[in-house]
This record gives sequence, C-alpha cells and structure tokens, in this order.
Amino acid sequence: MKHLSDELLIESYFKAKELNLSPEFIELIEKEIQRRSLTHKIKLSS
Amino acid sequence: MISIFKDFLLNVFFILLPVFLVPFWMEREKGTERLRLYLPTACYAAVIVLCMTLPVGAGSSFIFDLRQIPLWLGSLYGGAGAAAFLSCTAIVYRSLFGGAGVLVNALVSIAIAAASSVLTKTFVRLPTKQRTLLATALSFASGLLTTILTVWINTPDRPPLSVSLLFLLMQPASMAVACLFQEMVHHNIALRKRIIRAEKMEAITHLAASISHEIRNPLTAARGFIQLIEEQPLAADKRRQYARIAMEELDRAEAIITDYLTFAKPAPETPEKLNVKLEIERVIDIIRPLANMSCVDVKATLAPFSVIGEREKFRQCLLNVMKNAIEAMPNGGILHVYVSVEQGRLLIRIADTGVGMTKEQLERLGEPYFTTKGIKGTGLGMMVVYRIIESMNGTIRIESEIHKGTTVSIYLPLAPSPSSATISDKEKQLFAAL
Repeated sequence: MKHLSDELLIESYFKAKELNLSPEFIELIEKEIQRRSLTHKIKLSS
Repeated sequence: MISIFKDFLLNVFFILLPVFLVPFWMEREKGTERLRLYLPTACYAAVIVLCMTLPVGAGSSFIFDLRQIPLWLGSLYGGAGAAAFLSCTAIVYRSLFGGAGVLVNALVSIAIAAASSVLTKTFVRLPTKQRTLLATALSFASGLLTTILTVWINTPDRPPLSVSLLFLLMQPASMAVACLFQEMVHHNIALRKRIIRAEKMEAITHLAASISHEIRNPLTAARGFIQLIEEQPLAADKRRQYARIAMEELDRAEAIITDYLTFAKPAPETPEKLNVKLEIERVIDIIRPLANMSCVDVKATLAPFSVIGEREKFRQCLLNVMKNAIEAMPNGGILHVYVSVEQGRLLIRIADTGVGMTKEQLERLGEPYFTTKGIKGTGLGMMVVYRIIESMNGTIRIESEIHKGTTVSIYLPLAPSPSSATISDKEKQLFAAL
C-alpha cells in the first residue's frame, strides 16, 4: 500500500466505506492513512 | 565392622553404576544398533566382575558380594541371551578363586538364569512398583537358595550362620535400592523428553498463531483492492495501482509461507547426503531477484562438500540467512557466500556489507519475535535457522559491526566423500536415459 498516492489512498478509503467492504480491510487502509499522518483528511470530510 | 560396611557400600556403588550409566548412554542415541543392544549386558557383566573382585567379605572358600543383583537385573531386562552370558561370566570368574563356593555359585547362577529367561517377558511389562517387588523377592529367593546350599555343603570353613543371615537381609534390601534409583533415572529421562516435546509444540503453536495473523493481513488487503477494482468502472491508472497492490500483498503472503512454514512441516523429511555447492546455488537462484531489486551483488566461492541433513530445512536455513543479509543492504552492497573446511568441519560463511547490528541486537538474535526490520519482520527467521543448525549438529557464529556489515559462519559436520557429487550426476544421466 506504500505505493499508492495519498489521494488514491483517501479515495480508496471512502469507496471502501461506500461499498461496505470488510471492516478489516477498511481498518488496514485507516492504519496506512494514520501512518502517513493524513488522518485529518478523512475526519474532516465525514 | 567398619571395613565390612565400607566394602558393602562399595558393592552398592558397583550395582548402581549400570542403573545410572546405561539409561543416559542409551538416551544419547550414539553408536551402532549392535553396540546399543549389547552395551547394557556388557555393563552388567563388568559389574558382576567388580563385585567379586572387591567383595563385601571373603573366606577361603566363600565370597560374599552383591553379584546376584546385576545378575538378576541384567537377565530380567536382557532376556535369555543376556541371562546365559551373565551367568557364564559369574560362574567362570568365580571359579578363578576356587573353594566350595564355586559349586554353590554355579548352581545358583544357573537357577537365576533359568528363572530370568522364563520371567523376563512378564517382568518387563509389569508396572514399576510390582517390578521392584518382584525383583526384591527374587533376590531374596536366590539369597535363600545360596544360604541353604552353603549350609548343606557343610565344609569346615563355611561362614557362620549369622553372616549368612545378615547377607540374606542385605541382598534384597540392596536390590530394592537399585530398583528405586532405576525408576528415578527413567522418570527423569522421560520428563526431559516431555519437556523437549512441549517446547517444540509451543514454538510451533506460536509460529502458527503468528503466521495466520501475518497472512490474514495481506490477504485482506488483496481482497479489498480487488473488490475496489471490481465494483466500478475505473480509470486504467487507478485499476493498475490497485492491481499492483493486490499482487504485492499476495506475494507477501507467499513469502511468509516460504519463509517460515518449513519449520512446522507436518510430514518429516528424511536426512540425506546433500551437496553443499548445489544446495547453495539453488538458494542463490531463489534470492537473486530479491538481490537484484536492492542492487546487491552476489558472490559465491563454493566447493562440493557434503553434509547430512534434511534438504528443505537446509535450504530454508540458508534462505533465511541470505535474505537477512540482502535486507540489510537496501541501498546495494555485496553478499558473499563462502564454503570451505576448517578443522575437519564444513564452514559456510555468509557475509554482507549492510547496516550491521549493535552488540545488544546481536545478543538478542534468534530470540523469538525479535527483529531489526520493524513492522516487516516476524522475528522468527533466525530462530528457525538456529533450530535447523542445531538439528544438524552444527554451530553458528555471528559477527557484526554497525554500518560495516554482518558475517554469519555456519559450522557443520562433514559427511564422507565429496565425490558423491559426480556419482549423482552419473545417476541422473542413467535415470534420464531410462
């Protein structure tokens, strides 16, 4: 997941939530978002 | 009085020798089958001789010692063949000393051998307590027979009745003591075996738990990203990125299996003669893509020496060490694999010019779950390496200097004849022609 661009990563997060994909997968994306210190980007928009 | 007691203790020491030595020797599993079959009997025979040489008491025609105890124990545990050998030993050696006691000894020894041959099968199957009781009773019976015969023969220099009676009591008592110690020794050995098994089980359980957790993550990620591709029309670029991640995660899952599951293989391998050069070359082939990715130059100075080991485990071991070396050089470097013989042992040296380790890290190397790779490491690779080398009767030495590199030196016992390399080539040709 390191190779995903930041925008695509955030986009994947929202898409995954929208499509109701597995919570473990969403958690994995969240962890990567946290790792890159982008957490504010997902909090603000939801 | 004191000197008799001293000699008695000496005899007790003699009869306890096989009780302690034989089980521990047998446990080490060294020596040929033949040796292990005959060793206990030989030991008991030696004890019989010792008892008679340094007896508790001796007159001109009678010798008092505890020889009947090793005679009983050796025959009951060893069977008819051992019984015959041991009684012959007792009879022949006793006859060297002469006197009327020779006849008594011969009769009693034959009786003991006969009784043991009949009872041996039952004896061995009995539970401990009953075995001890039976052995004690039998030693009392043979003592009684000895006393009766001694009295009956009635030569002028036969020992006083009091001595015979004392002996009648001491013999079964000594037998009971010997059996007690025997049981303690066996219990101890069984316990140690159980501990080793339990440790192995625990390691495998830890490994299994860690691996299933490790694999679940990449599979979850791969699945998620594939679902993202599936659910909607996507720009080709994004689709490609998602696909790439899915592939990477699947590769990681496979890598975990490759790295660690050999250790917990359900089907055990058979040890065979391995050509070190061929095996190392094979492993280098496997890690070459990884090396190329990190711009690591792989150099090998190999020689076709042989070791005995399990092929997959050996490869696993080399793979783990070389992988560690490459991962220590993310910005390139040199990986050198070097094979030679040192002091009669095979030496495989794997050296890198990578980040190296501090003294503290070096000390913890091999500790389960300890890793210098951060999130990426499972901390199990070197543990597996240590176990495999240990199982091949080898030793491993690691030197490292921070920022300079690490050198892993593996010493293994050599298997005979490196010319087996040419033989297997010829064999391959033969099989190919069939």
